[in-house]
Amino acid sequence: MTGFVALNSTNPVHDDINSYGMRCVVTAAKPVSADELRRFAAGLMTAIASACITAGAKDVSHVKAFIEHETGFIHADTVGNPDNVKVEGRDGKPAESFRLVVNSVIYGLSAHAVKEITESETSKTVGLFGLVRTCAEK
Amino acid sequence: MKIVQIAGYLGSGKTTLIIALSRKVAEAGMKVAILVNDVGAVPVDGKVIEEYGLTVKDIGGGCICCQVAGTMIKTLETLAKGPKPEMVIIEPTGIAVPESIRQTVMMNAGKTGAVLGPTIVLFDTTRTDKLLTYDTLKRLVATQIRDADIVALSKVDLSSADAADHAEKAVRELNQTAKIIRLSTVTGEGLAVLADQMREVTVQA
Repeated sequence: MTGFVALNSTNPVHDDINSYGMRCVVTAAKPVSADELRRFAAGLMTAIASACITAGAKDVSHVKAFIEHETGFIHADTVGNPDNVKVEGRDGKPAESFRLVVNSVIYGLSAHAVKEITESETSKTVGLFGLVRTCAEK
Repeated sequence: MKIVQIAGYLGSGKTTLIIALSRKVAEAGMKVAILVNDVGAVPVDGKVIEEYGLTVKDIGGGCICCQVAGTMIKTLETLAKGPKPEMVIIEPTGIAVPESIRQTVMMNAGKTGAVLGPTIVLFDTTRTDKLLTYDTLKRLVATQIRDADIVALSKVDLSSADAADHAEKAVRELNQTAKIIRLSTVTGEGLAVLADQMREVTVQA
């Protein structure tokens, strides 16, 4: 797992906006279909955005993910409403592993909270789908 | 090398618009490069744009309006010496201040040979009140709108006519001179007008 707290700006217009980016490799015991991968991406976006709102975020400014594997890619994001997730991309064959990038940009939560929520909700969602986070992307 | 900035708050639809617009401009025979600055240290937007077959230079490590402005200029210099695109579309982070980027580009025009195209700022018509309610958020979004030559009212396909009118009124109160265009990347509304503006408009520094 590689994670970064990205935004460390002293520009006053950036006050109260914090972000966290992470990437990892996710593996599956059996290949994950394109439909399941889309459900995973949507579920992950909703989980992170909902947890941010529960924690007191004033606005889910943008939570987005990029999933890439040998034969396809999808990207997912949500803005404002955790249940309104957009998932697009080019579906490929079922994948035994994929690279996952997640960026969360939240207004009204601390950088620490954005990091903790992004990490924990990613782990939970990966587990819910029977997947395993294995290692950092090289 | 004309520099066109497509700015706007997070989630306003910049990446989707750039994918659509770049194709339109390129179809008209113009050589286009895209410079993407993602707010996360792990870039997503550049990867997405690349997957749609477009050439992208990613700038990470911070916001190009304040933290990594130098990297942006070096990237523009590299483009000017190498691929020599006729147009560079800059997608700053959703929290960037467009005027800071414009000033940095113009101060370094001698190195890059850049001329300024329009600064286009997207405003999400589905989130007018949210974006203009909280003090610090409003300060940022209002600054972005004031810096625009063109404000694209985005996602009008998801907004009622009243909501789009409400957004336009709010934008007009903040910027009395910008051209306002209603935009939907789903229906295509406004895309051709924006592509024309990008090709035809040059802004005096």
